[in-house]
Parts: sequence; structure tokens; C-alpha cells
Amino acid sequence: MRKLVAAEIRRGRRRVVAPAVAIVIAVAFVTLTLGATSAIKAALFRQVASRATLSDVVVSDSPSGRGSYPLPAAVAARIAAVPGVRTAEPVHSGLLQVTWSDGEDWTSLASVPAEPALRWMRSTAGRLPTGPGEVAVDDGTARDLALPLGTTLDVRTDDGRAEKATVVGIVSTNGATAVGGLRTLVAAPAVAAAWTGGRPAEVDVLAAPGVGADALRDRIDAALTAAGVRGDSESALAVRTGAQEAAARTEEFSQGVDVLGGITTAFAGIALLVATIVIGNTFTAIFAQRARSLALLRCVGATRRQVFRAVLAETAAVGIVASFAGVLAGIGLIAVGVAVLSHFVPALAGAGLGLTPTMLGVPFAVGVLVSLVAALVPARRATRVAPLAALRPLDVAAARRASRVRVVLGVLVVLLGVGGLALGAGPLSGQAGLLVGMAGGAVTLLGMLLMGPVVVPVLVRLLGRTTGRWVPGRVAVTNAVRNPVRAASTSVALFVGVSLVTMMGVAAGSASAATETVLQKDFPLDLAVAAPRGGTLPASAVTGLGALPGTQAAVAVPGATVRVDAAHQLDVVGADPAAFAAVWRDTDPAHGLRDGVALVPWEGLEQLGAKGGATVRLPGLPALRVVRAEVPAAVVTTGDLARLRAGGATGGTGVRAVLLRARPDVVPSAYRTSVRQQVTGVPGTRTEGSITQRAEVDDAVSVVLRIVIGLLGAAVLIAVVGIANTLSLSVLERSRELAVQRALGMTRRQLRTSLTVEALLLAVVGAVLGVVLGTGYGWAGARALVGSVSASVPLVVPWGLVGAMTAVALAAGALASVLPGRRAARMAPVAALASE
Amino acid sequence: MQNTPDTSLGLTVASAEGLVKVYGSGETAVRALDGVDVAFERGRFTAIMGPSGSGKSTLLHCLAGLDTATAGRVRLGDTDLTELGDTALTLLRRERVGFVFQSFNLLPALTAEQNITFPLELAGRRVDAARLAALADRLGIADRLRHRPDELSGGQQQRVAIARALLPGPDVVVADEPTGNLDSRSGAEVLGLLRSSVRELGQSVLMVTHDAGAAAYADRVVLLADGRVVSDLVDPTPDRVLAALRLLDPRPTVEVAR
Repeated sequence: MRKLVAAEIRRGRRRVVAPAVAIVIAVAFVTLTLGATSAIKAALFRQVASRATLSDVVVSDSPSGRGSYPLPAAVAARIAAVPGVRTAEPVHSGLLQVTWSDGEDWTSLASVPAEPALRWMRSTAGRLPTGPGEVAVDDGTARDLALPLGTTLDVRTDDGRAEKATVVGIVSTNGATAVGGLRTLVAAPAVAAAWTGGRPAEVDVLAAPGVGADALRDRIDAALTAAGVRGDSESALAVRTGAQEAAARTEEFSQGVDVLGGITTAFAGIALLVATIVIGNTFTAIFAQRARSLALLRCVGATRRQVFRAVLAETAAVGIVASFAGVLAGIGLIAVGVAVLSHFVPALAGAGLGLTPTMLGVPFAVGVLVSLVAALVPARRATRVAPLAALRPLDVAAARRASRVRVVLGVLVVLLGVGGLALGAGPLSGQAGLLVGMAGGAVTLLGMLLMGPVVVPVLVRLLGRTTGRWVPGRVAVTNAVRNPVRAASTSVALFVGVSLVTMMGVAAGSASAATETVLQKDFPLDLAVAAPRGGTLPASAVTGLGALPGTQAAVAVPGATVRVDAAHQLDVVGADPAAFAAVWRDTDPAHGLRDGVALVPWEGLEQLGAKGGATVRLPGLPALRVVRAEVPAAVVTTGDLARLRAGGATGGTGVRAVLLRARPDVVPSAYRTSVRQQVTGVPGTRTEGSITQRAEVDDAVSVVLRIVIGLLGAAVLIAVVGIANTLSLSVLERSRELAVQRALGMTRRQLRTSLTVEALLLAVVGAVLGVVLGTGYGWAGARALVGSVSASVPLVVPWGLVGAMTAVALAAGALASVLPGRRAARMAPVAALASE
Repeated sequence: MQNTPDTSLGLTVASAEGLVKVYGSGETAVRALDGVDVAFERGRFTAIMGPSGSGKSTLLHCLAGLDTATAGRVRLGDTDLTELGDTALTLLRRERVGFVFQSFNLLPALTAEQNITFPLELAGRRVDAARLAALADRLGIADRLRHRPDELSGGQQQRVAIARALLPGPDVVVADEPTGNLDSRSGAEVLGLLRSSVRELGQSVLMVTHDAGAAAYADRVVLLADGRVVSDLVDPTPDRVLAALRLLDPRPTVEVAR
């Protein structure tokens, strides 16, 4: 038997190419997702946590160590006093607003440790900053902006002070920058301390020789507790060894990665599902073709079991080789992917591929398993061939009609799934709703798979009507639907990929549109461009902002600074109520602008020491009711501003800020960029509003979307292979019929055309079904995700994406038909006509 | 008893001159046709016979434009087939040759009517409904036109195939063992229909067969052996055909009739 199997494999080499290709792609994809997750985790570790491993002990306030709650100033000295401590280095870090050449942006600032062993940065040009006003910039930023040494940057600290920073060097951080891809500056400890509020974010400790990290940690812990600075529950200090700190930081961020990992695994599962369908199809056809030779085996005395085992052994051999190739291909893909992505995420570069036995073993095992599972049913059917079939003359492969039971079951399942979707999108909310909705969606997918053999031929025939009496078209339609089960499987493979991509696109678009409404409610100002305290916006900028194509309304407002008391000042701008109403989206009269009312941001309320709704007294305005609002500075009427000036408020008549309302159809990130460009020459300008919020959401969403679509592309690729498969096999099956058609006068071109049309029909049906259902899933998903926050979730169909998917489907069909078409056309009419 | 046909009478519908067909190459080369010279008259029913391996099917395929000659010439009417490329041959088959096969070879997904009109549809020609109806009537399949091949008996399928061959009005109908898969009654029906198409419609028919009884329906029998024409009978009877075949049989006869 074994010899026979080996001989069969050698002989039928070409047959197994198709399923082998499908397995290779699926396994490569699984390897890619596992490897990508692992690589991202490794990169995150370097970015987030590797810094911590330089220290023996780290004392910080929160896992991220970003100084959210700075440590008490004296802590470093206390730690240094603990026996066994060689160095206790306070780390000052925080965020600054830095005006780069491409606009103002939040930038991370950290101190350069005095202790060289703790330096997580390396100077690659110039020198490390040592004096006042000196900074070094990270190499990624220096490269992106072509920043020469000696450049002076305008910096605004968190508490509003404007400073100047001179770039004296460039440092390489090996990816250990702040998370989120922020640009990084480093400065001498004194400078960093001064610019970030004076209190350290963490203290990095090195142990004296002979002292273990764990022991030192315990000592420091005890010492701080004894001194009473360990802190209360609200702001407890965390004392950890370097390794523990690294682990804690990784833990915090890896939750996000685990979610990503879960999602990519889900997509790998989808790719596998599609591959299984394709492989199952292929093996069905292969075994049907070999029915006669298998029957011959049975004739000469092989039992059913022997035949079954032989067939499975053959499949296993194919599966093993193909899975191996798939794993290799996957590793190749990871390497390429990491190389490409490390341009965007520097931390990935040099992180290594992090290959583990699991990463290699799991996809391999999965590939072999999938091949076996996919071949099981077809193989069993193959053994059912009666031995006599070997002796009977060749007959046409019987068309497999779907059983009635299957169709009815399919309809029921689809209805069940739709119910689940509706529940998740409507009444049920939150996590439960999302889960139910997702389950509903998956169930409808299953239902479609079951109902496919009925739905697909109907749609193909409908679509085929467009070809009219054109013979290749008619032939294509008849051939496409003659085996409903196979036609359905082929279309459905593409349908899965397309529907998921469409789903992501629609969900993203709809959710984004829904959050727009919410954000506009929370941030009634689309965009406010404000000069720093005491400054003004130049006239050119003001006109420029108003003239932007995306601007619907613009209000330029003058400003002043009011002295509230000895220690507090309030920034105020004055606007004409009517003009203000044109840019203010909040239609609640209680939040409207009129004399005696001021719309005040929280910083202003802090300065006033008042809460929203209170009435305050200011020089010039004895009774001013303050309303909390998201505005760049306190907004009063022009009349009230004049009164405040009369009462002593300082500030010229120049334009302090421009308030903007964007057109409804504007793209947030594009508008934000165009606004920023208008004010690049004005240092310290702040640009905030609902547009910036939406732009950030859009940015995040588009990154995820791109990754997801890339991942789903693999599923679509497998589906394309599936179409080519189906076509080749149907050509092989019909070789006699094709010969007859050629004999009767069908030219080679007509034959190739009919095959292309056949592929296109199946591809388009799959794509159309995918787009329709994907839109449904996407909208339901958006509703489930955002419905609790936003009352109305509009249906946003990304027509560009839909168009692209249809084009891809058409291209896939055309491409898939090339090889089978060539093979079919090459067959000489005579050769196939010869009777057995 | 070799009667050379007088081809100066009547027109030639198909002919071969020094036709050679070789399959394969080197040691495994098979010389299916070894210099065949023959001409077939228009409006006649000609049978081509011979033992297996004589090359009769190959000759038919070459004459019908299904296969290309290795050497020599093949003509259909005035057209030299040896000079035509694949597309030209395909168009020629479509317009000027009608096929009837042993295994019927109807397209299983089409109805009988659609099968019959298939060659015309390929050419984009309009179907003459009256002509189709008359043909269907004459062949006795008018009530089966909407049925699929798997709903028809063998005899009915072959008659559909004949209708398919006749409808476009081809120069020649080429039949390869048309009664091979039929019982004797259906077979006789089919042969009768072929002959009447010759007599009444003036159709030219070339038929390959190994059945002496079938050959007797023809006006002329050409005998092939080892790739060459060895005998030519006009107005054959079954006995004369059998006698000619026996002469070709290489096996020694046990008894010689005295």
C-alpha cells in the first residue's frame, strides 16, 4: 500500500498543487499572526520596560512611571541614605509642548541620568546636554525633521511657561522612548526638573557591590515606610526590583497587545476556515476524478479501510510538506513585515524575530490537521465507490445538489443569526450586546455556508442574464451552476473575506460618525486656535484661517488677562454673541453667551477658585456667572471684555484667538493639519476642539483598520486560490465536454472567455454577498459598540473600500481563470474524444 | 475486387492525397496513416471500415479538421485544410462539418433544443425556427425538445445529435461509429435516418464503422488496413463487405470454404 501511495503521489503531482498552495498560504498566515504578536510584544517590552532593567530597584508612583503623580521631593535623598544603595537617581520626566518645524506637538522630556550605568540613551551626534536650556533629541525625530545641531526650539511647559531649548546632540534610545511614538527630548537633571514641575517621576537605584536587588528593595521599602513617606493608599509608592518594574510596565501595556493578539488570532482562524473550505472542495473533486482508479483498487482486493488509509496517508504527506513550506513562508513574511513596520515603530527594529518553538510548531500542526480534516469527508465518500465503477464506461460526474434538510437548516440558522445581530445592535447594550451581536454575525455566516448551494446558483443565473445570448456567457453560466455545492463553496470563500473587510470599514465609518455627534456635544467648539498668554495671532494667520476651504465660520476674538488676586490670573477673550453663536454648537440657552455670563474652561475655574454655575466678582464685573465649558480661555461678550479692561485687565487689542466651525463634510485630520499650517510661525499656539479629538480617534482607527485589512487580505488571497482551484478541477472534470464543444466549433478564445466569465460570475456573487452582509454586520457592530454612548448611529458605507473590493473580486476572477483557461485551450479536441 | 471510384463524375466533398499521420516520435512513434489517397463524392453515403488500428478514425478526424496531417494534403471541398491554423479549422468545423459520435456527446446541461442549436449559437447565426421544427419532426424528436439528455433514451439522444449535425446545413456529416452504443432497433433507425438525409436532402455523409451490416447502408465502402486504403466497394451488400473484411484478417482461418 505504501508503495502505491508514494507512486500515486509522484504521478499526481500536479493535482496536489492546488490544495498545497491553499495550505501554504493559510499556515503562513497563522505563523505571521503568531509571530507578529510576539514581535510586537517584544518591541513593546523594549519600548516600555527595558529601561527599568538597567536599575536594581525602581521606586515609582505608578506602573507607567510617567510621573502622573510625582514623588515627594525628598524621597531621593532618603533612599540614598539606605545602606546598600550605591546611587539613587531621581528621574524627572514629563510632557512639553514643543514647536517643531511641522507644528506644535506634545513631546516627552526626560532627564539624563547622572549615573552613566543608568543611561538608557546613547549619544550619536553632538553631546549629551549638561547645561541650562540644552537638550538632545531622539534620532528618529532628528532624522524625520532633518534637525541640525544648534537649532533652538520653542518649548512650553505644562504649567504654561515658555522656554527655549537648544539642541546640542542626538541620542539613540533603542526604542526605549515614551509609548505612543511621542518625540523625545532629554536634558540635564536640573533642567528637566525645572521644566517638569520639580518633583521626580521615579527614582532609579543601583545597589552597592554584593547587595542583591531583592534584598535592597526590601530595605528601601522598610526605610520609606518607617519614615512615613511610603504614602497612603491614594498615592502609595511602588518599590520594585528593576525586573519587577519591567514586568509591571509590560503587563500594563500588554493588555492592549493581548486584545490585538486575540483579534489577529480570530483572523487567523478565519483564514483557516476559508482554507478548509477551499481544500475540502479540492479534495472532493480530486477524489471524484480518481473514483475509477480507487474502484480499481477495490476490485483487486483492497478493503475500504485500506483505501481510506491510503488516501489519508497521501493527504497527510501533502499536508506535512505544505505546512512546512507554509511555516517557512510565514517566517519570511514576519521578517519582511518587521522590516517595513520598523520605519513607523522604531522599537521594532533590532527586536529580533523572537521565534519560539510554539510559534513554529503550532501553525505546522494546525496545517496538517486542517488538511486531514478537510479531506476526511471527501476521502470517506471516495471509499464508497463500488468496485464495479472501475469497469463501467466513463460517465459524467453527478452534480451534487444540496439536500433539502441542509437548505432548511441554513434558512433557520440565518434567521437565528440575524436575531442575534438585531439584539446586539438594539436592546442589549455594552459587553453583552457586543458578544451576542458577534455570535449572531458568526451564526449568519454559518447559515450562509449552509444555504450557499441554493443562493449562489440563483444569483449566478441572475447575474448571467446580463450576458444575453452571447455563447461564452451562456456556457459559463451553465457550467458555473451545474455543481451547486462546489459553486457555493467557491463563492463563499471569497464572501467570507470580503464581508469581513466591509464589516470593518463600515463599523469604523459608522462608529466614527456616531462619535462625531458625541464629541461635538462635549466639545461645542470645532477648533479654537489660541495664542499664548500675552501674545496675538498675526493678521495673515487670522485671514488665512477664515479662508480655509474647510472653514464654515470663523470668529476672531481679542483677549485680555484679568488679575483675580495676587496669585491667580484669568485669561479672557471677548466675542460678539451673535458671531459666537455661529461657531458654538451648544444650543442650550443656559450655555449661551450674553452679558454677565462667562464660559470658562477648567483651568480658568481653578484660577477663579470657583465651580461651574457660581457667581464671581472680577474687577469691572461685579457679578459674573461662570459656566464650565470646553473653551481655550474664558469667553465673555465684547461688552463685558471692555468692562474688564476698564477694571484693569491687561492685554492689547490684537487677536488672541480664532474660533472655528468646520464644514459638515470636512475630514478632521486634514482640517486640523491645514489649521496648524496657518499658525506654524506663531510659537506656543494651542489648537484644540472637537476636531482634534475626532482626528485622534480617526488616526487610531485608521491604523487598526489598515492592519485588519492587511490581515484579511490573506483570507481573500486564499479565496482567489480557491476560485482557480475550482475552475481547474471543473475543467478536468469536463474535459470530454470541452472537447465536444471544441469539435463543434468553439474557438480557443471563446473557451478561455467562457472560463473567465465563469470565474467572474462566482467572484462577483461572492463579493456582492460579502459587501451586503458586511455592511449589515458593520452597522450592527458599530451600534453595539457605540450605541450606548450615541443615540443615533448613522450608516456610513465606505464606497471607496466597496469599490476596491469589487475591483479586487473582478481581478481575482480574471486572474484565477488564466491558468485553467490555458490548460483547457491546449487540449486537442481529438485527444479527449477518443473513447476509453 | 477493387473498384476505383470514378471521381470525375460528381463533385468531391472531401479528399486526401498522400495523407500521413504519425503520433509520438522516435521509438514509440505510431504511423496511424501511411499515405492515404482517397476522394469522397458529394451527396453520397460513404462508409470507412477496417480492423482496429487500421486508422479509420484517424482518417475521419483529419478529414473533419479535428486533427492535423503530418504529411500530405487534406481537402474539404476546395479548402486545403493542411494550411489552416487552429482558429480557422475551428471555424471550418463550425460552419461546414456536422458531427455524430458513438457516445452521442450531447452537452448534459443543455436541453435537446439548445444542444441542436449550439453550433449556430457559437457562430452567432440566427436559428431558422421552421427548419428546426421540420428537422425535429423528420427525426421524430419534436416532442422531446425541452428535455435534457439524461431524460432521453440512447436512440433519442443520437437523433438529437443528428439534428445538431444537420441543422446548419454542413458540407459533410461525419459519423464515428454512430450505432456503437445503440441497440439494433435504434441503430437501424439511425442508419435509416442518415441514409434518407443523403437521398432526400442531398447531404454527404462519411461514416466510420466496424459493423458490416451498418456499412451495407452506405453507397460505398472504403476499407483501410495498416493506415492504407486496401479496398473500395460500390453499392456494397453485407456479404461482400464481410468477404472483403475476411481477406484483411491476418489470422489464419481454420476452415477454408470450398
